[in-house]
Amino acid sequence: MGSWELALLPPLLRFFLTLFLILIITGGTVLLLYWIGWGEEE
Amino acid sequence: MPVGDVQIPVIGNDMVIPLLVVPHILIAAFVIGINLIGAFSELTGVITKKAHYDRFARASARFTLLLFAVGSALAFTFLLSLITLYPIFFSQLMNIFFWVFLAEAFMFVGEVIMVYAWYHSWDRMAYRKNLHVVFGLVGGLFGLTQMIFIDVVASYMLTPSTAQATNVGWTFFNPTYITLNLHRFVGNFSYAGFLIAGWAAWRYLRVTREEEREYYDWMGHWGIVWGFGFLLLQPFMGYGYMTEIKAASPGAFEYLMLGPKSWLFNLLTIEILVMAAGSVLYCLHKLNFAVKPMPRLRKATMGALGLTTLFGLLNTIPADGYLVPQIGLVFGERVDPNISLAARPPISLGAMYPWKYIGLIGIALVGVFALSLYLKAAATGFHWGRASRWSQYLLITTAVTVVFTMMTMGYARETARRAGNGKDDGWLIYSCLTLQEQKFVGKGCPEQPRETP
Repeated sequence: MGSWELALLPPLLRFFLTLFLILIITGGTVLLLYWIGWGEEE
Repeated sequence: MPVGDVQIPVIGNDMVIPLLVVPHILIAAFVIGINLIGAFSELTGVITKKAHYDRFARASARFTLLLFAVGSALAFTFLLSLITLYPIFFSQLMNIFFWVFLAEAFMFVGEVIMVYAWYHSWDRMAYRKNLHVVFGLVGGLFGLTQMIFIDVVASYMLTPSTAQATNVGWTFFNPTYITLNLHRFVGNFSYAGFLIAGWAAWRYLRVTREEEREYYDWMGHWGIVWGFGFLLLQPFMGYGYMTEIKAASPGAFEYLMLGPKSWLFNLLTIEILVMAAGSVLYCLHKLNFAVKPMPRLRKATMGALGLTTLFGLLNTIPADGYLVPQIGLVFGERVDPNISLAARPPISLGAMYPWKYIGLIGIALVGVFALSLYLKAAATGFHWGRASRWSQYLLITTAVTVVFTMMTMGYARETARRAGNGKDDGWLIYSCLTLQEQKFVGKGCPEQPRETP
C-alpha cells in the first residue's frame, strides 16, 4: 500500500491532470461522434 | 472496516470521481437540454409550418441518441467507482435513497424508449405530427424527472436533512433540494442553447451552399435565444440556491464566497460577462440583417451592450487581492470570511452589497431588454446566411465559455464539502460523514445513522 501512496502526484498537479483528462474524454467523445456522423443529414 | 481498500495511483481516489462525473454531466445535461429544445422546436415547426424547425428537431433527436449511450456508460462507471472507493458512503446513500435510485433508473429506461421512438418514427409519423411531438416531449420530461430524482441525493450531500432515513419526505426535501432543481432546470436549457449556437457557428463557417448557410445562421440564432434567454434567469436562481446553502451549511457558503475557493465565483463573473456581452453583441450584429431596418432599435441595443459590459465588469471586481491561494496568487489583505453584508472589504467596489447586487440585477434586466428588442426584430424576419465570420467566432466563444461555467459551478458545489473538517479532510455528507476515513460524526446526520460495523 505504501508504494501506491508514493505514486500519487501533488494535489495541484492531480487537479490539473484530472482537468486535462476530463477535457480529453469529453472532447474526444464529441469529436468521435462527429466523425461517426460525418456525411449524414444533420 | 471498509468493504475494500482500493487506492488509485497517480491521481488518487478523490480525483477518480470528478474524472468520470464531469464528462458524464457535461453530456447528460446537454442530452436533457437538447431533447427538450428539440421537442419544442418540432412543436414550433408544426405551428409555424417552417421546415428548419423540423430539420433541427430531427438533428436534436439524433444527437440525443448518439450522446445518450456515452453519458449512461460514464454514469455506470462512476457508480462502480463510488461503490468500490467509498463503500460506507454508498451504503449510507442506498439506505436512505434506495427508492430514489430505483425510480431514477426507470426514468432512464423511459427516456431511452421515448427518444428512440421519437427519432425512428419521424418519417412514419410525418402525417401525425401532433402525436409525434408528444414522443419528444415525454422523452425530455423523463430526462428532466431523472435529474429531479438525482438532485435529491446531490442536494442532500451538501445540506443533509437530520430526519431519520425512513422519513422519506424530509430526507427528500432537504434545504437546497428545490433551489438546486430550479437552478439546474434553467441551466440545462441555457447550456444546451449556447452549445447549439456554437455548433451552428462551426458548421456555418464550413458549409458553402447558400441554403446550408441560411440554415446554420438560423440555428445559431435559435441556440442563442435559448442560451441567453435562460442565462438571464440564472442570477436569481443561483442567488436563491446560495441563500439556502448559507442557511443550512454556513461553513460551505463561507468557503465558497470569501474563503479559499472564492476564486470560483470570481471566475464565474468573468464567464457570465463573456456569455452576456457576447450574446448582446451577437444580437447587435444580427440587427444589421433585419428584413425591416430598425435603426432606433439597433441604437438601443448598442446602449444595452454598453450597460451589460459595465455591469459585467462591476461583477468581476473581487472583494480582496487574495485571489487563488492554492497557486500562491495572493496580494495584500485578506477579507474576513465572516464579514457582514454591510461591512467594507479591502476592495470596496468588490463588496456583495450593493455592488454585486447592482451588477447581477443590472445584467439580467438589461439582458431581458436587449433580448426583447432582438426578438421583436426576429418577428419581422432576418436575411439569413449573411452573418459575418466574427459573429460566428463569438458564438463559439460563448459555447466554450458555457462548458467551463458548468465545470466551474459543478466543482463549486462539490468542493464546498471540503469546508469545516480540517485542512486535509472534508465531508462526503456535510457535517455527517467524513471524506478521508468515512466516519460518521453524528451532528448533521439522521438521528440513527446506520454505521457499517
